[in-house]
This record gives sequence, structure tokens and C-alpha cells, in this order.
Amino acid sequence: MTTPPAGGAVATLRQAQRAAAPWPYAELDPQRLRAAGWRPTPIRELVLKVHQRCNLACDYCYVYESSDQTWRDRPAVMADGIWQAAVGNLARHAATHGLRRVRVVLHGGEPLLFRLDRIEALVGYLHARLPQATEAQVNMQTNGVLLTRPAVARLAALGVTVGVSVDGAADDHDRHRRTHAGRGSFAAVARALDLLREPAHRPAYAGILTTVAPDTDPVRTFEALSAFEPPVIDFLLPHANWGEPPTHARPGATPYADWLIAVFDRWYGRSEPVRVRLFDDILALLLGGASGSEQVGLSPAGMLVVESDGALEQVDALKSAYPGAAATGLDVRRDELDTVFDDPGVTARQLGADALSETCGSCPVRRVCGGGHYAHRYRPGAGFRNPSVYCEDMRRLIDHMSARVTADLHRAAVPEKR
Amino acid sequence: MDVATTPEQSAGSWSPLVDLTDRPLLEVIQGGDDALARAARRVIRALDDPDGIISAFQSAVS
Repeated sequence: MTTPPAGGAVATLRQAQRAAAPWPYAELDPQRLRAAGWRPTPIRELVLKVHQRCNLACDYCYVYESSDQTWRDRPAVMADGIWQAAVGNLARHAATHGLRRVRVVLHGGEPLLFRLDRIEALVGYLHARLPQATEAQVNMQTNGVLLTRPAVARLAALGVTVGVSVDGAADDHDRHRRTHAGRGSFAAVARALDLLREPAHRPAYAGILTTVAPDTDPVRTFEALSAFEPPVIDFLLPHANWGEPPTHARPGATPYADWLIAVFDRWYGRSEPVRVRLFDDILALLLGGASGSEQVGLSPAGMLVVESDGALEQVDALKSAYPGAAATGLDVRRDELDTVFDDPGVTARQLGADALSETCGSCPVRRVCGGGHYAHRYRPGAGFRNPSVYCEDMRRLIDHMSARVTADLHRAAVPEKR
Repeated sequence: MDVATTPEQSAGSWSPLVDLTDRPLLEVIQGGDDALARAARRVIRALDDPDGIISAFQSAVS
């Protein structure tokens, strides 16, 4: 195993992380955990930041608008040598751990700025390098503005699935998701989604990603998104923490849960409803299953980010906590993926219930909530071993869903009395 | 490095919130086309599959 280089930038990074987040960086020892029998979970998803710039200037963007401004120092375009090193590293990791399936996510910035010819080369290289027994999925998360008909057709032919960020109805979307010149992007995104809905392109349509916004009408938003016939809608809580609470948070109120509950009540009970990742995950958790998303459950995190300069990092969401929160000090050209398991931050995200705060540990819904999104647990000077800043919202949403599910299951299982 | 092959090894015991162990639900689950039936089928499918690894984006949901 390669170890991170001592001294210099890495030492400075570690010092800053220990000060900003004593848990896990000063208090969690991955080597000691492994000596005690804990085993890390292999990485199954690499998020490649193939282009660091964006053609939109969304006002809530956690990459460009957060306190972490490291994107400014990185190359705009990921060089061939970086993505080739990333693919080679993933292939070795898949072979070492016998992984049946891995995923590469093309991300940015805006990944379509990377250009389709480069994407085609990357996809071809990936399929050529992975072990025969490992299936590769390639996904792209885009703002959709550059998804022209030729682009959609080419991505579909390459087997790349495309997720698009949309914030609901046109006026709500255009309030936040604007070009650098201040123009709304909804019209362009709607055209892209219409292309993805066409039967020939449908296999490339991964879904829609939407930020929860309590100042919008939840049912109107849900219906506007549903009109695009996405395979999945992924509702994300805006990134926030105890140092920077959610915009609409008020004592005694649960505006984010109220919004989601209104959507859930509209959605639940329909015949063949559109998949809503957050609701599907909570339902599966309520029934004893696992979650595959960051927002709920206790599943281990199996993804890493490769920045355009080759830096191996945790997901961008952590950048909303403090500068350097996502960094590991590792480089995909130099360090094997297994090396990340020596990083306290990566380890913390694979510990499940053992990473929860005392408050969460005694909470009856902890296995469903899972403490919420790791980034939302951050408290400046303490770190990530806290309840989510959305704790009350999460509890209200889960209680509401649990009550509906319990009533339905009891009703279904008990024969009607004559 | 010795790495776990399944995510469940570190997860500890599982206690579902909705205890329906004594109820005949299989027919309801198999025949339903609503979100709850779909979720139940997902849980059953995942019993022999190393699902439940967190992914960053929605297409990870199989």
C-alpha cells in the first residue's frame, strides 16, 4: 500500500482537519479499528470531475458558492493522464476485491464541457481496462443545457446514462439556476429532458435531481418534475450544518419535512408511481432493508471523487462544511484506492451506527435516518459526530411515512371482518 | 489490505420498525404495483445481493 506523503501540504491539511473536525480526524484511528476486526468496504463508484467549470451560476452551488474554493486552483479540464490513471486504479481495485459492478460518474462543473470525443475515449478505455467479470456503468450528472439531440444520441450509443438537475416549475428553476449572464436555464433543460424521454434515448435517461425548497409549492414542483417522465426523482436537502443552518429553519418548525410530506402524500398509494429515491429508500429501510443513498440509512459510503488535478477526495457535499473537508491528501496517479481506508474521514463514512452521536444512538429511528447526510452533521470545532441539522425534519418525515406504511400493512394483512 | 466483501458485516443487528413477522403479506407484496410493494420486493431481492452501498447519484438504485 502507498502511504500519503509526509510533511508539506498534507501535514497542513491534516492539521486543519483536526482543528475543524476533531471527530473523526483527531479521534478516529482506522488502523486500530482494523486491528480490532473492522473491515472497510471496497469503493464501487468513482466520480470524475472531468471539467471544473460550469456554464451556469446557480446561487446555491456547493462547489462554487461554498467556503471551499479549491476549484480555482485546479485545471479546468481533466487531462488524459488523470482519467486514465483513475480508470486503471479502479480496474485494479475491482480485480483485487472481485467487484461485480462498478460505476464511473462524469461530473464537474459541467461534464458536457469536457466534450463528447473525450467522453467517448474515456468510456472505451474504461471498458477495455476493467476485469472481464466486472460490469461498468457510466453515468453523467449534468445541468442539461448542452444536451443537444446529437449529444443525447451519442451518449445513448455509448451507454452513458444521464441525470439532470431540475428545480421544478420554470419560475422556481429559473430563480436559482441561471447562466452567468443571469438568464434562466429552464427552457434549455426542458428541451433536453424532452429528448431523453424519446423512446430511442430513454435507456440513457437516468433521472432528475432536485433540491428541496420550502419556499416553493411542493405538489406543483412534484407534478412539474413528473411531467418529464423521469425514471427516478432524487430530492436532496440543501447542504447545511450546525454552523450554517438551513435557510428556512425555524425553532419548532419542520419546513423541509412539511414539503417532503406533501410530496409523499401526493405520491404514495399511486399505481406504479415514479421512483422517488428518498421515499423508496425510507420505505425499504422501514421494511428492514438497506439504503443506497447518502441521506438515510447506515450503509457504508462506496464512492470517491477524482478532481481534475488527480486529487482523491470525498464527495463535494463535504465542501459545504469547511475548506478542505473533502480532501484526503491522496492522488489517483500515485496512491492505490485501498489507501483511502487509512483516512479517518473515509473510514467514518463506512462505520454505520458506530459513527453516530450519542443522541442518535439512543434514537428509535436511527436505523432508518442513519443520522442523516454526513455533511449535515457537521458542527464547527467538533466535527461530524452530531445529529443532522435536519434532525427534526428527518424524524417528522420518517414518523409520517412509518405511520402510513404501518396502517397499510396492517390493513392488508388483516382479513376484513364479516 | 483486508477489505470486507459485504457491507452487512459492520452493520450489527437489524430491527425493523414495522414488525409484521406474524402476518401473511407475501401475496400482497407480490401482486402490488404501489410503492410499498415495490419496496418490499427490493428488500427481498437484496437479500442475496451486496446492495446497500451508498452511491452519490440516483442511477445507483437498481
